[in-house]
Amino acid sequence: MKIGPPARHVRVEEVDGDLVLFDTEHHQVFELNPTASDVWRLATGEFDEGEIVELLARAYGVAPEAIAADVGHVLTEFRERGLFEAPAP
Amino acid sequence: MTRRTVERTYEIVGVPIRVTADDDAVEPLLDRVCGDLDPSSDDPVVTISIRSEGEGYRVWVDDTVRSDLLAFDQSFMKAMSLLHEQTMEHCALWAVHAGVVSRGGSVLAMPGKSGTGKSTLVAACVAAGWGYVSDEALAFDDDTMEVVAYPKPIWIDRRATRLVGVPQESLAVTPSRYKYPVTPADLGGVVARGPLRLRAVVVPERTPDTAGPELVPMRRAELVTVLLRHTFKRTREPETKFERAVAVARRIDGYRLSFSTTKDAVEILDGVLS
Repeated sequence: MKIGPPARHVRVEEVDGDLVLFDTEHHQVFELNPTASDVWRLATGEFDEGEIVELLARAYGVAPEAIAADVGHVLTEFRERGLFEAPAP
Repeated sequence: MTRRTVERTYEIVGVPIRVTADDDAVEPLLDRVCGDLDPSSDDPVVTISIRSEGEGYRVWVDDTVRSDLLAFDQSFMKAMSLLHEQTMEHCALWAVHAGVVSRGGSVLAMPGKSGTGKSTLVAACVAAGWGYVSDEALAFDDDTMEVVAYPKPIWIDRRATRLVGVPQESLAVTPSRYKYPVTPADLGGVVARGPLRLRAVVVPERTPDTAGPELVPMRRAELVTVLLRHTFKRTREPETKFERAVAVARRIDGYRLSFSTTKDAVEILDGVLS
């Protein structure tokens, strides 16, 4: 399943390379650490979770298994907080 | 017994507010607690009144009663709470809940929850020579970063007053036996005047097990969250506030300070603005 794209009610700002998300519906702010920022940048609706892990592992020069759990955790957080567009019915 | 009406109008972070009472016993308390606020000759935007009623007192905001029937000291504390509430309600500046001190016109703000030792830290900074800006709110224009002092007293408990060296006789006039209003003068300090510019935000955290104080730079993304979390009226125009918080975070430095003793914390804060 493709991940993303970001929900329309989420505003994004980049500050010193880190992303800050603002949920305009619930008035909540999320500051993302560097890894979570990279995950968010790839959550465009173009890639599935495995592809995101692969892309990041290549960029970081590590084995996919080394980051898969962290990426999965971040994606779960994003989903649970309603930061992605709802999948089409 | 004849009671004289007491009336004072203050300008607090640009907001003219009047406090009145129909009992002149309020006067020494008011002069103690609000003595560092600027007087105002403008028409007030709101009036807070302490009115006697039978055996007690009620507190009003304009024509609206805002308290139960209270004892005298309680009514005064309620009035001070409403004074702050109304100041924030009408303040056109961006206001962040924080202790605020300055040095050489540069301002350091310490946002934090109650119980983090923020007020004691502010008092200790003032005793160490920092200018006093506020123990309540960082009020500033985020275009110019100019800060306006909000010098209500620092409310600390008896133990903290001893820790920061407040002469105990200064505590005689108080509406509370739990927390005492301490002024910069009690600490041998002064209210910061003149142009003040916001330079840094430090989030203090008292951690009894820490060996020594530790000052860690904060990511600017984290600073955005800190600013918004402690902003008064943050649910009004939230998107605008988000944009403004991002802009401010790009212009100032942020730190986390963990400390176990106030004295150590003050020493390490000296380096933040240098």
